[in-house]
Amino acid sequence: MTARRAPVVTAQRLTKVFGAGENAVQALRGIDVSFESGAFTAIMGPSGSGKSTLMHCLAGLESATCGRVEVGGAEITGMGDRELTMLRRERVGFVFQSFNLLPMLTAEQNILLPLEIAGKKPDRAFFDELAGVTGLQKRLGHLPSELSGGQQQRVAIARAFVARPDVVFADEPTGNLDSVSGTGVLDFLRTSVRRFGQTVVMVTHDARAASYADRAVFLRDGALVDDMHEPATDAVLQTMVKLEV
Amino acid sequence: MWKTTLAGLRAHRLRLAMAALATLIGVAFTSGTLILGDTLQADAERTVTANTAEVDVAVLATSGLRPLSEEAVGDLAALAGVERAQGVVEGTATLLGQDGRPLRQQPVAASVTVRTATLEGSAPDADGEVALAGSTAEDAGVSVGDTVGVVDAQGSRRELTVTGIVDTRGEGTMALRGAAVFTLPTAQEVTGQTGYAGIYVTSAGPAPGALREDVAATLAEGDYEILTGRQWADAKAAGSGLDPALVSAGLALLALVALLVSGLVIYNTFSILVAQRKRELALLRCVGATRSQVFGSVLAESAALAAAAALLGLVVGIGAGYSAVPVLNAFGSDIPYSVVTVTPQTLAIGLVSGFAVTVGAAAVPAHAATRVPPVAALNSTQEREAGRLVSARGLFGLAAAVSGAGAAAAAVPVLGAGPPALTGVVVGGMLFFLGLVALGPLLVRPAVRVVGILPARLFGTPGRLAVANARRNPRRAATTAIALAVGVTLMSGVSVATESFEASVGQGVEQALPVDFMVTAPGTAEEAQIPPGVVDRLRAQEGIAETAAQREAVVEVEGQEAALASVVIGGPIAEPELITGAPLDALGSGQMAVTPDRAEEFGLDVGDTVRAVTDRGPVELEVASIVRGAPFPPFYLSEEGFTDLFGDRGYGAVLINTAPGLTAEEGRAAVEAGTEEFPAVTITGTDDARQQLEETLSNLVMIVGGLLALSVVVSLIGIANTMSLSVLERTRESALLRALGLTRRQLSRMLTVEALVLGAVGACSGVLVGSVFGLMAITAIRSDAVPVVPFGQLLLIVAGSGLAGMAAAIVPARKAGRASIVASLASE
Repeated sequence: MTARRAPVVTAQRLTKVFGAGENAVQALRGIDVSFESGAFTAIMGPSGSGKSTLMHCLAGLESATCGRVEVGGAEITGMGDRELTMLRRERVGFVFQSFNLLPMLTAEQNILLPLEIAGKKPDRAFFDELAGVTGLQKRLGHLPSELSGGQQQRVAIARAFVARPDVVFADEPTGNLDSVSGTGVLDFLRTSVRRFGQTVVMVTHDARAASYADRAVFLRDGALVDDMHEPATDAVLQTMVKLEV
Repeated sequence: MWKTTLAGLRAHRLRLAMAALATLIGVAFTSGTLILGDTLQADAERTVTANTAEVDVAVLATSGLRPLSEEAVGDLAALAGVERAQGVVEGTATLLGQDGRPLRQQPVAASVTVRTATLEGSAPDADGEVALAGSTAEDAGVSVGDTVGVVDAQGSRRELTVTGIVDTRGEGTMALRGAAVFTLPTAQEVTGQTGYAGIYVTSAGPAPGALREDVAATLAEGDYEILTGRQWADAKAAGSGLDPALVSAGLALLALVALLVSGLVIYNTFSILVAQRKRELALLRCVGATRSQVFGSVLAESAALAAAAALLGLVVGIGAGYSAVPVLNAFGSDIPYSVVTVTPQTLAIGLVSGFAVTVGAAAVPAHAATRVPPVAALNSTQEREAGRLVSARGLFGLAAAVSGAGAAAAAVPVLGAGPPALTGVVVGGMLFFLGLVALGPLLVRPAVRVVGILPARLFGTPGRLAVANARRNPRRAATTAIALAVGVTLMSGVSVATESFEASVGQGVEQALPVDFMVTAPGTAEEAQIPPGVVDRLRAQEGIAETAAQREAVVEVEGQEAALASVVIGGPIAEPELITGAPLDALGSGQMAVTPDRAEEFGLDVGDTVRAVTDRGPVELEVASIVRGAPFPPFYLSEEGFTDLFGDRGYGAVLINTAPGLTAEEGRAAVEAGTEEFPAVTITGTDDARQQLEETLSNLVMIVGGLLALSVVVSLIGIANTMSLSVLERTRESALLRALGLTRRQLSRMLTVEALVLGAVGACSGVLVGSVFGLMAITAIRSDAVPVVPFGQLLLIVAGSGLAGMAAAIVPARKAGRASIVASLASE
């Protein structure tokens, strides 16, 4: 597993402009970045730094104005809606700040939804293992409204992992949680990354959350300004303070 | 608060437009139906009044057997205060078509009177002239100036010139069967009648009421009624089959249905709107608005909306009322635009009901919204959970449904078939439906599960998600489905009831005429009977399998008309079952056999003697046996006995069974070929009666079905509303599904399938309830009802409603598919 780590997601001179003419806002200014297989990376930056936009462009949710993005060796810039849909179905998983579970489906149904949509048979052993790591075996039959926030987010993470995508993008996964639940979720995320070798890219502005990652990249005004390996909370905080000024 | 209210109206323009559309259509439908009802009533009033205006007092014979005499006419003409007394002869005319055969629909024959009005040409003036009803002229293929063949009561054929087209509107049977109007002498010769069916009196001065008294005093006791022109007009209006009062009551009922359906749609739309705005309302509370201010603001908003929509709806409804005129005229009526009646009452009902229903429908969810603590509302990001479902409402629903079903089921066994039982079934049905409305939120989940089995399999993941979505908000789903179910219930109820009615009447016809064709003589006079040669030719005709010829003579038995008949047993006439008395072949001269129902009617038993008055004088006949057979003449004489009384005369009727495998048309052709030498006979086919009934009923069903279909359209708007609002509400969820790899097409399909499922739940439950209560209604109407469930039609209703529901969701579904994922994920 720890052979030569190939990049799973790469961006080259990635630029994103919102609007046109006088109202044009340059959200990303030619970013070059790549994310290695099996790594847990945090994208950090103050509000408005373009970290969410970067994630959206990397995941094919937003089209790049110029530059190039590759996911799992396939160039996604210039893909049509249909190809992008297939990309999301086959290669990308998502975790959102506000959980976004389907309220009418049980926890188990929510986890299995990506496979169901792709029309794939679930790998039962993998599902059981995943459910074991979430610690939710006893709550799988419950509806999201019957779960706590932390539990809901763990279900959402399991959902992102279940199809074994090339990469999972997590957008502020602890943003809606109290610190205890947040810690649980981050623990779970890191354990899962280690255990399943899953590549995870997490957008956050929380230094403590970033400290759970193998690497943190820092954005400011749409440009990559720092890249830190094995980030510790203090180091991240210092960098952030510098960026905020 | 007014500024906020107005700002709210502007901000939610699109969503409110949907609620407004529901109000608009509801008001348009309600007022349009009321206008149509008033207009039809005004038109009926107009024709009937115009029709009897010439007559001040009418004397009408109530028995066809004892018409009014020539002397009676003379007496009335001589009465003081009478300007003119005119007798009218009525009967049946055998008119010949272009092929020289009698018309299938024999028109009413009448003599020309003061009441004869022509639409074209003039009334007959000379004995060789005739004026026909429009439908009759069309059947005979003639127009004014042509000649038409008529077979008179003696059986001889004469040619008459058509002088005009008579107006038969408001004339009951004439309007239905057509008419031929002759001069008095010709009418007497054609019908063979010497007496008068009625005498029309015009006043020289006295008021009709006073004149009526004088007329009554002048005439001897007899079988007739004396009416003033006005009384007669009212009686005609009530008896004309389509009683205008009944029609407008029916239309008012439909208007009520429309109002109910739009009420449900409006209620649902506002519930969703208010639920979506809960955060906004909570924010108002947080910045200091009181509970009643918030409530008032929502109410004011709905009132403004209701007023505008109801006014617009009224305009549309009035427009619809006027545009019904050309439609009705295309169906053969001649209502002028000036008769379209828009009463202030209609305007008031339309406006007030639309306004009240809308504001009422908005008040319930608005009140509920103000009950939520503001902070809780602000914090909640979750969709509002449906509250407790088992409650007083559920218990009430159960009670209503059970008692409604019980009342309907018990109506016929307890009351017997008849109007009270029908009322029981209808009231029971309404109660049951009310229960269903109350129980809806409880029933809708299992119903969706059952109905959803097929779509979940057919449409893959989007299908399964759609079924799950349809179950997530039971209240909303139930209201949406029920709005559709109202119209579908009534449609399928009407469909089942008319289909069963047709089958029952068809069976009745079959029993009354258990042969394929019946050939009857043009009249009862001896000269008009069918000659034996014709019967022989029929017997030998290819395509005719069996014949039975019956001699008959009309006599008077104990003051009632009765036909004595003699028939050779065999062929279509099976050997009857002997109940008591002598076997038929032992019957001698002066003896007869009677069927049980006639024996009961006349109080006869074996051994009794009956006095019958024939045209050759009175005779005594002994009842020798009582027999039952179908078909079998009610008063049977042996061949010898008949000849003794009436001589060797021709046949009154020939019963015919055609060769198996022949179609009705081929059979008729064979019978026509066999009667070529004596074309004046009438050929009645079993199918004719059935066909005629089916045509009449299918017209009625079309009109009622069309109006009910409008209520279904209103409920479809409800489905479209629910779906668009659900789409808005689930923007983020839809985006998530797209992020997880659902294609645009699959997302749209998920939403359309959800609408399909809701539509199918409404349609299936409607069809179920409608069929059951339709069958109960028909058994309440006729004791001999033949229950028929027209599966094809019902399937069509379900499929149509499901697909229409799906179509209603197309626009919101496309919109959801096109939305940007990132933007939608960020939305609240």
